[in-house]
Amino acid sequence: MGEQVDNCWSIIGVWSKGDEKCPRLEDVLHCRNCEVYSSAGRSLLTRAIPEDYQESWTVLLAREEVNKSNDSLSIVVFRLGDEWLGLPTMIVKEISEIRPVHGIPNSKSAVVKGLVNVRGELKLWVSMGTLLSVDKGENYNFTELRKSFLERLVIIEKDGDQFVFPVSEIIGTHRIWKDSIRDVPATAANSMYSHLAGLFELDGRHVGVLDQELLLNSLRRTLV
Amino acid sequence: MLFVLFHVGEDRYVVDAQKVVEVVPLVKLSNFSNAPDYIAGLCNYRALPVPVVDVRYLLDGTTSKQVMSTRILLVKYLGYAGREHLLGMIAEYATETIVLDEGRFHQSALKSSEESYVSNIMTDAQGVIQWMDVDRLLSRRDCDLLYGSPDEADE
Repeated sequence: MGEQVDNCWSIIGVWSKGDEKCPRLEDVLHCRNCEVYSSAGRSLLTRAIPEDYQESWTVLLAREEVNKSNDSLSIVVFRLGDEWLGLPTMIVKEISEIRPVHGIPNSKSAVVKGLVNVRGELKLWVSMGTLLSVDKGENYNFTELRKSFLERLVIIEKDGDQFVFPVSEIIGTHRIWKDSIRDVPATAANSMYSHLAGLFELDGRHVGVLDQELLLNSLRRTLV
Repeated sequence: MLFVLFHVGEDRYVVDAQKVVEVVPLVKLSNFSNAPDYIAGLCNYRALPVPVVDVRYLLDGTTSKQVMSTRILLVKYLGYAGREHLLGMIAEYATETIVLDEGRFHQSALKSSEESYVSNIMTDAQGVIQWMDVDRLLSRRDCDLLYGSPDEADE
């Protein structure tokens, strides 16, 4: 085994619970700026290989690959009210913080909420909730502060069309096997389900994968 | 062009990232009897025996350090008979990829010799980077020894 790492950062550094503070903190402000911390991080790479680590990797590597198909899909998973939804990562151009929306006078569309300024470019702000008939929901009864902390703007782009919509929370991108996507129940018939290409399970949640073509067609239709 | 960077002792080397199939930790290798010294052993890669070259041993005769950052690069090796094989390379400090301009590499004077697996050299702020040509790592004799000669395979 390698030499013992002196974890001063959790004893006298920023992660300590005690009152005693490292004098270096006055200069470096945070342990991550301190060379002691970074060299300890680097030393992780130069430590000896633990026996069980090597053992388990040897076994792991020797195993034949179970899923050889390349049929996987990268999905950006987000929450809209109570619903967990996913969009193919390919069409997600950007995820950014919430920005103010500017209403369009005489706009009759319920889906189009207005325009939003994203680095000097005006983009259409649409409400995914209205389009898919998903309301705010009750399961995630967070404080206003927490809600505003989690909310993000998703910018999607396909064939030159760009739309911006707010979501309640972003979970991240996940790679899933295509055969793990199940069909949408035939009995489900609201607006959200009709926009889904399928469902998959992620950490015990059911995530609906939005059909990008259907979604974009619906969005384009709101513009005319 | 994207390269996988590694060290041999203090020196920096790169291989073309396109040639790299996977980078794995330094797993336990089985002994490969009768193989040249620089072959560290056989790696069981997904039920396939893959010969593993200790690059440091090949270059300066010392074995690579057994530390976490020493990893095995599994590369596509194009043998002399034009057939592609998997080859493992034990490489120290294989922790980074690096984008380098192909045009900045100079042809090394060593090019003329037969076993010149280091074909091109460039420099940056931190010193010299040498481009290792995976396909020339093994001599013809050793290639036949490890993968069988093409004539045998045809029979």
